[in-house]
Amino acid sequence: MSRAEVLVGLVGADATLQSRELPDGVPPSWRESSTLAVVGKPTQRIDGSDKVTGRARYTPDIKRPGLLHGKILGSPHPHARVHGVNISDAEAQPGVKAVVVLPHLLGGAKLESEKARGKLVPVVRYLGQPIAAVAAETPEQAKAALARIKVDFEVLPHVVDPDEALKPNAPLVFSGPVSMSGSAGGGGAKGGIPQKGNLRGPKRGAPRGKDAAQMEQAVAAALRSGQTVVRGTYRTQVQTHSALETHGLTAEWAGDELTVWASTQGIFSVRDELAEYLEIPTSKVRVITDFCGGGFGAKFGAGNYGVLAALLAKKAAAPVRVCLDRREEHLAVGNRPASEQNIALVSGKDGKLAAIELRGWGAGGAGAGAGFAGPANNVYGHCPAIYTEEFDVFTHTGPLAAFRAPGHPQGAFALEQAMDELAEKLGIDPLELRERNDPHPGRRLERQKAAELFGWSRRTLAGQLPPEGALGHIRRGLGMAQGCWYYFWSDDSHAEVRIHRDGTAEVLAGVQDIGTGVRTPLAQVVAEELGIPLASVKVSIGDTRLPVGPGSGGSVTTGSITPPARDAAYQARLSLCKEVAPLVGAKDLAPGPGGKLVGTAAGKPIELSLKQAAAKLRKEQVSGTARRKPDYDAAATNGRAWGQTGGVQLAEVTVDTLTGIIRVERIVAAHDCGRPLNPLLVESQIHGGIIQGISYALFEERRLDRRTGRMLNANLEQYKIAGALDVPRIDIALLEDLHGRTSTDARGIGEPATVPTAAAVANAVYNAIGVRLRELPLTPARVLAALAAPATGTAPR
Amino acid sequence: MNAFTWVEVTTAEQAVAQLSAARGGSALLKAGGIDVLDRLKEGLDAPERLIVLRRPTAGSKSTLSEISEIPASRLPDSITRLLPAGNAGDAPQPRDCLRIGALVTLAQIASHPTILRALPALAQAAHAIATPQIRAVATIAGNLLQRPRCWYFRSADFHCRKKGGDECFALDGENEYHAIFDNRTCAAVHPSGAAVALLVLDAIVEIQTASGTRQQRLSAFFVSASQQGGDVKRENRLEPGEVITHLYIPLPSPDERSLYLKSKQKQSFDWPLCEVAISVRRAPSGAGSLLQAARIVVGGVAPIPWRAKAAEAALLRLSKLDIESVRAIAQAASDGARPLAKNGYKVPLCQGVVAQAVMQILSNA
Amino acid sequence: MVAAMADSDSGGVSRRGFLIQSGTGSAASLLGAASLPAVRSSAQAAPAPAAAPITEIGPGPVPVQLQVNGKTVAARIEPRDTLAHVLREQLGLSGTKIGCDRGACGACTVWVDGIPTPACMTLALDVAGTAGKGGRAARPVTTIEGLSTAQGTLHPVQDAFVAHDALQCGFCTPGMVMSCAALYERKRSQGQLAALSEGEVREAIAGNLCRCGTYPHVVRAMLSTAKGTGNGKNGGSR
Ligand SMILES: Cc1cc2nc3c(=O)[nH]c(=O)nc-3n(C[C@H](O)[C@H](O)[C@H](O)COP(=O)(O)OP(=O)(O)OC[C@H]3O[C@@H](n4cnc5c(N)ncnc54)[C@H](O)[C@@H]3O)c2cc1C
Ligand code: SF4
Ligand code: FES
Ligand code: FES
Repeated sequence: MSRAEVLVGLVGADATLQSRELPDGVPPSWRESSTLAVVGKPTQRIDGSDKVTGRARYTPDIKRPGLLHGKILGSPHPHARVHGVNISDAEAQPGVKAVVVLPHLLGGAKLESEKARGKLVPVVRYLGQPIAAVAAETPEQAKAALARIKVDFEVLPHVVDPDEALKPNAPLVFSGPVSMSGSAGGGGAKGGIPQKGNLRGPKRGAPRGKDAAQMEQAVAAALRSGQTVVRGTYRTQVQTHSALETHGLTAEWAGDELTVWASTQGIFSVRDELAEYLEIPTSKVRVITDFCGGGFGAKFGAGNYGVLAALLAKKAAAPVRVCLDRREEHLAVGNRPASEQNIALVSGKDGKLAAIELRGWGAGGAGAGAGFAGPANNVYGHCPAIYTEEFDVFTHTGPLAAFRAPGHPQGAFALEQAMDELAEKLGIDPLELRERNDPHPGRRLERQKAAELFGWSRRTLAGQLPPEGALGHIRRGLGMAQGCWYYFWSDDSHAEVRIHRDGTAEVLAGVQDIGTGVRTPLAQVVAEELGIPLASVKVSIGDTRLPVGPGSGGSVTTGSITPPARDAAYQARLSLCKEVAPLVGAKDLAPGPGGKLVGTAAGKPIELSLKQAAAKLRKEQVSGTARRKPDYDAAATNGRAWGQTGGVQLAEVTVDTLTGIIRVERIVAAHDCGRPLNPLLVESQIHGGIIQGISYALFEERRLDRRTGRMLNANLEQYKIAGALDVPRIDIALLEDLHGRTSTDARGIGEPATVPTAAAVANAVYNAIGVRLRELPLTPARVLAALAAPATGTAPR
Repeated sequence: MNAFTWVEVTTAEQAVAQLSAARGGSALLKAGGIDVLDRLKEGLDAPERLIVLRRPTAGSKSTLSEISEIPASRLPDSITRLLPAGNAGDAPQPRDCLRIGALVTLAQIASHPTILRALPALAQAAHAIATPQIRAVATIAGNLLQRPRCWYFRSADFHCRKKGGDECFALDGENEYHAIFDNRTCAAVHPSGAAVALLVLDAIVEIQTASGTRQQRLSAFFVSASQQGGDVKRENRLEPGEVITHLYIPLPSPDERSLYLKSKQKQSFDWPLCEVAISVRRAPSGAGSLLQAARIVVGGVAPIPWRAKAAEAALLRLSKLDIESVRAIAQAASDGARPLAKNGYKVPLCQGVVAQAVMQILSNA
Repeated sequence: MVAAMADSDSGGVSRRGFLIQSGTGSAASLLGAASLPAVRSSAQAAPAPAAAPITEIGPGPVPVQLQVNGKTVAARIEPRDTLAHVLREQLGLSGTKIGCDRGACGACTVWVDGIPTPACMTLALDVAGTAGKGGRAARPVTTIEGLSTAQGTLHPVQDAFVAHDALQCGFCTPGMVMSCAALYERKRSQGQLAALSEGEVREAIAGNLCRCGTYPHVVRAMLSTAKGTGNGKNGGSR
């Protein structure tokens, strides 16, 4: 340990040098990015040309000699008991090489009793639930053979609609208490919570460090205090992840060793799940993911399809590929759960929040942990009384999975609209209302910057901007919302850096690229540390043979893996110094600025570039390894919410009051993510978050037929995803927020960028038409219905 | 997709012969194949023989993939007699027509200079359909003859009336995108955007039959279940084994104009929630009303492209353009609508789109 | 084998091109008439004297040739095989992706006759050349692999995509690039490249879904490459 000066705070605002306790073996902290050569500069992806030429190989592109095609038999019923599965007819079909029955189901909530029993889950709880699979020479043969698998189903009554599921005599999804394990960044529900019928809960919540029971009382007292109260009920829909590459895995055995190519966000979690499921040693499983066509939270484990691929490959003694089709993707591999949220805000006339109460349910199908209270408990954490209750409602539909900022877009949709309503009721500008309740320094600066870029001062009260269009039917509105995300990292993140004699370097880390482009920031931090060009750094990722890295979820990747990468590069430099010092006669050779090695030889100062020093090596390479260090000096908080990133978005929309069609014309987004290592890639992530947010706000919704429990839009045509013509002008203000706690100051941005969008759009729609829409998606049908109903808002129409 | 025999033909006569020969098995005609592949992949159709009507190779005399202007002097009588009469009671006069071959793609239509200039409603409709990639492949006849997009119909899991089953799942199911007119037997809306435009342009369809050709007005071509004694299994009057060869569209006189508007939730490809085409003919100055002819056809609201006759009548009575009268015309557009549980919004929507179309066409007139 | 195809009286320019190609190279030998039991042909009786004969293929696999990225290649396909499937599984051209398999995402976009086309909704026989009576020429197909030169020089659109980070996970990227490069080539051949508008770019990619949300950078990449500034190495986006 040693003390050092570290730059802390928002660059260009309150950043100051502070003294910090630094652990041993870490390089000196970087100052603001403008003083750096590679880091912090907009830099094109080092693997970009693989992606634009089609050279990049994704899981369905992997070809192995003798590759077979696997297809899954999913349950055609949403609720049934399986009494037996007969595969012999299927096995005899042309081209068929193996047929297997899924031993037990992965994903979703589990009955405590079923867990104990282990094997073969005999109950189907959602349509599309995997039951068995076939491997054949062609996909068509495999598909044809599926029809020959005979499953003895006892079809049971089902319920797919949460409102129906809450009725007294609704069919039960689970006959007893359940729990569900989480995946990185979300999901998960611990046992020990009350459960009655299809309703499980409440999970009682309060801001970190506060007692929920006390908070409940405090909220009740505030509600009775006679201060201003706004209440509302908000509903959100089921959104499916819909990564453009579906889930898939190719498995190949060599003896008792299994190699798989998987479309995943977590190569190590796939490895561990396969090893556990197949009861083979972890060391016998290798997972490779060169490229992954998007995950958004749903691609962590091996998945039922992955297990089936491994079992088929074993049985057929040939490699087997199982890649889902678009329909299976919608049905069976996760979604963002629906919610109903009842929120109440209590405030003084001065706009200071006195209490926030939030109660409601989330509906994640046959999964648990569909919460939404993150924003309520964290964004206005200074509010003295905050209490939340979250319930799960079970239905016979595919279980939820973590989805980009799990719970937050839902939670922000309710909370930030309620804030908007409160602002109007108190006659305070919505931005100003946040100012009075949210001291987070990042968001403070973000509000200011975003408002300037956007021209927030143009905003008038709801419905007051002049009508546009020949029939005066176009109404324009401006709205804002904000959000938070957490600063998570995985300290089980390791990297190795090798410096070769020719002055090039290699960084090895067991992470995977899901689209964020992690290869590039890895190369950047190493190039910066070593003082060599970016092109001299080779990055190896996406293989469980590499040092263990984090799963890409919860926005942890960059903040977890770049510090050890930089630290490993520093360690490699230290060993380079040690190796080269005797060769140049400089005992005190040490790392200096700009990647140089400096010292004195024969009484004179000497300075070697990395390339010069490496050339002197008598061995092939020197290397350094490092593990993610805990955050430096973690006790000191300086009053800053170190654990939270912000994000403020302002939206401008038009609403056609004749057709109900909403168009988002502009979004201004201000965000912080620690030190933006590569602003170009950060910008891409923010675009992605916003566009998914708009798509969630206006278009996306899983549509089910209640009677049969079938999904009606399990495609990409009626499951509507925003395209190029739906995307507004987007302007971004990006903060440089140095927290001085790791060697790179990086934090994630993937998730925070999608949190406030839907809420900002909804607030802008309200501002346009003076009627508040409290249910997602904001469809033309809902707009027209709202316009036809008697006005509910206080604003003129 | 089932395995099938590929039977490739380049003329309508061959196609008809192959379709009727069917040799005891089933045969399905493919043009661009966008709709056909969707149905084959879902298993809604499983023909033994796919009759593939290909674009004739260069140099052939076939007009199946051509757009050409046919001067009045060369217009066949069979077409002339179906042209709209200039004034009620008059015998139809030959007029210059545009002839569009059945295999012409939507992309060709959307960019054809004559269509852009003289028949803008058609160009706009073609451009608004699906994606650029699909428009490059999809043909005009295929677009008119594609099967409905009702999501129950499109899923092999639902054996609904349209497939010969005995119930309609949409009537008390998820019917947000379904019909508000003529919807009691089958509420699927007619899917073709091109049809909506072609109807206001008085298009005539030419059909190859086993014994020759026949012609009919497109306005009498599409049929709903209620118009054919409850038969929901088809959407038009094309008989089995027949093949569309051409469309004839009278070229408008200088005082006529048309436009098409599509209201879609998503601006990048989306099916219409409601679409409208309108054509008007200005009245000579001094006449009491602004217009002497008007047609309004609304799509996405009925099992067939829906003539909004009451709105047409109101439009014809219009003597000056003001917002109140436009609203009144729009109101009339939803006369007779009987929405289902979840598509009530289509009533104001249909009015709204018609209002915009009327406003737009009259202020440009 | 050439004789087997030469009876058509509608042979135009493209047909002659096919005869030349199929007469050379290794593909031709695969197409000997003897190996084509499944291709039958019957001259159609009246009423259409000018029509080409009717060709019947399948339902089993038949040898055909495809013209992909400027090369003539042999394949064995069933009539029901889509172009996307054949490119990926038989020809090893896995740059063409399948996102929806229903024409709704654009991931499978390739050029047929130079025009962006959904390969998942195109049957391989639609573009294949066949031998036998009534055989016909293959139509040229260009995939993402054919866009850059064999020497690895990227198309200007590909360069611009990299420079402006118009790609994230990259799964939609090949299709997106094919749509954009077609637009670029069209505008260039019209001498209108510099006039390329944002609206034109958005329209051209309206059928290409990107779940990661790259659209703004795609637009930026296209506009700057059209103006000749797209190939800056780093930070071209700022
Ligand atoms: C994502 C997506 C979005 C879409 N959006 C729209 C939209 O917004 N609006 C819209 O209108 N359409 C839309 N479509 C539908 C599309 O336009 C049609 O599927 C297409 O136009 C069909 O043309 P085709 O040539 O491919 O027809 P095919 O698929 O080849 O044929 C369709 C049907 O017509 C029959 N047929 C074809 N030609 C003839 C002929 N000459 N004589 C007799 N029968 C014939 C066939 O047997 C078949 O039954 C969309 C499709 C997709 C996939
Ligand atoms: S609306 Fe028509 S097509 Fe749809 S389910 Fe009912 S009968 Fe079938
Ligand atoms: S895969 Fe062809 S359009 Fe989606
Ligand atoms: S980059 Fe991932 S889908 Fe477009």
